[in-house]
Amino acid sequence: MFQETVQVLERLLRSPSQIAKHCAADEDPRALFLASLCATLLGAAAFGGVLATSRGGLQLLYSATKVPLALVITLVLVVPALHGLAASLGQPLRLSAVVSLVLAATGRAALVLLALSPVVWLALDRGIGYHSSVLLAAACYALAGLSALGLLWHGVGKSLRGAFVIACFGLVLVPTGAQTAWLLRPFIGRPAQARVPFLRHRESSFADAMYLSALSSQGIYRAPEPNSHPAPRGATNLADDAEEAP
Amino acid sequence: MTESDVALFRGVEAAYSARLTALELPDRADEWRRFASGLALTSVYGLALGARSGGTSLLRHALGAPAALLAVSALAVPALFVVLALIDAPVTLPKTLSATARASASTGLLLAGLAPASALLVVTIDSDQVASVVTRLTLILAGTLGGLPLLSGIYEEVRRAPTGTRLKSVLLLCGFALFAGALSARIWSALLPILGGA
Amino acid sequence: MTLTDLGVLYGIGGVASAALVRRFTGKPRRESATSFLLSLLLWPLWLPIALASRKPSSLVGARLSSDTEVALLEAHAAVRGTPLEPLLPRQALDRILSELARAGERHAELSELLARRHFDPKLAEARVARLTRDGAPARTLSSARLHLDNVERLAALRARDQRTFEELAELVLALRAQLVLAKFSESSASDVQGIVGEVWARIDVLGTTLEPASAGAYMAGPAAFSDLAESQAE
Repeated sequence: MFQETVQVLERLLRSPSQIAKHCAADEDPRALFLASLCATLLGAAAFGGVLATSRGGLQLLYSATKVPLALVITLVLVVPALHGLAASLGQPLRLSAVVSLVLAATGRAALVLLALSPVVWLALDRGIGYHSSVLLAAACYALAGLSALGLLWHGVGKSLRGAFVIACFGLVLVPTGAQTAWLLRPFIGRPAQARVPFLRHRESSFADAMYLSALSSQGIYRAPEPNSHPAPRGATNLADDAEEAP
Repeated sequence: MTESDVALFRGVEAAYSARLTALELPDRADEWRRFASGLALTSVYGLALGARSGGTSLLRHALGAPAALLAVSALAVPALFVVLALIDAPVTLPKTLSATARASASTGLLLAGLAPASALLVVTIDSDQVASVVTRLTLILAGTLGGLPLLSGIYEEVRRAPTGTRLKSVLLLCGFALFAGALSARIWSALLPILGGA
Repeated sequence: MTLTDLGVLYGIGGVASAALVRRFTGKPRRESATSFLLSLLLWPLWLPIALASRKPSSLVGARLSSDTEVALLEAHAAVRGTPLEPLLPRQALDRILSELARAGERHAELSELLARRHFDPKLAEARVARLTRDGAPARTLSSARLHLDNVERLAALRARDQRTFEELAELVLALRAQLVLAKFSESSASDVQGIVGEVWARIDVLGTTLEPASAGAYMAGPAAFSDLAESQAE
């Protein structure tokens, strides 16, 4: 079992086209699924843990839990969308093939994140600021996303149509992933913060924040709408937490 | 049911989505089934939108979402067929029906696929305005991509026509696309509470 | 509705999915526990995988068969009501589809059988080698050789069916394209007739069994099998 998982992970890194073919052929997808899931959980947990090293303490555990959780929740939400997009754009794939493909791509991206973790740790250890660490994390996600894109393209069909399917999928993946991550904040944690919350109090949403930012950039300033949803247990309100301020 | 129908709908292992979006199905009944599947799948997306408010809103969205597809199929497509016939474009009723059913299934598949992500977004986005914008964008994406099979199906037929007729048909198809978009937007705005409808 | 409500709905889906997976998959205990957990927690991802791997080795044949069916139906739809319809009439379509369905069922059954440990050709071969090495009684050795021979024939039959399915899939795709082309360009139907003939030849192959000599050749490799098939045809 362990040896088989290692073999699959090696193929995942070395030959994305073979993995994509494997997904399309539906040759017993369980081994690939389990190996990809392991890679996703392990890579994302390591990267999440490293991101929290600047804050340390309980935040390490929280981030190591929440980054994989955000990835997996996003996958659950967007896999049917890729299935529908591929079918309506004339590249129909089985749902099991789409699941294998997306999970394999995520696993590959998570392995890239795992490889980048020491670099990020070193940068954080050298004392780069909070905002720089956010940018560094975003760059790492972009790099990991690129590695996943290759595998996905092979799987959907390496053609203009395949590229269009992936571009449309990106339109669904980005807002969904952003909103999921927004709900599970904070991931990095501010060093000045005294108490480490597992979840922040719900402050509007990622889309709301983008909308308000877009208005602000045009010189229109509005306060966020009052939150109608109750805060989850254990969550803290950023506004109430004076030490959260940079 | 004939042998080919049995084969067509045989087993869960067959690619359901491939069949829904196949170029043409052998029988008229299959096309109707495909059209109905598209409407049912669109209702699933409606349910996801209704999750924002819950209760009767679930039902209202589930009924409102496929209404635009029904309206385009019942009002816009026959009008297009009549106008294309007037300019003597070589379109046939069975092919037009098939293209409509395929477009309905395609839109339904896409919207049903977008339902889980939409449910999370509309439930967790606080601002009504932003939730409405997200829904509009989703509907535009699904409507555009889902409408392609209808346009391409009819274009395949008019391709054989002489250049003049072909050009007129292409212009008509462009006009139809705009009309269908506007009609869908009107229906959805009127019927979906998340977009400010009744 | 709130996120909690969505979470409750997700949980209900998980319980239903776990029940479904438990009902449809019979696995050893350890693997079953993993499958149960995954189908409870990650059901939107695991359910399609668990159901797809119910009969892993039979899926390839089923998929090819269903894709071929869709292409055949489209090919027939392209010529229906046109002068080209006699090339692929409804009766012929129905016969091809029923032959495909029958061959697909046989392929699935064979695949399931050959996935079992006792029907693994390598294990059967290793057993014969071990018995020979240990100097087993002639009768035992003879039974083991007979078992190996039968398993090899079954494996060869499955491999041949698999290959025929793949060839058929390609031919039917070509037929569909050719029929659509002939319809729109009003070109000659002679090429189409050739492809239809090839399709019927493959359908006939799917309906046949395998001779022992053919089985041996197939186990030696597809190239050797092709040589043998050609010599038999001559």
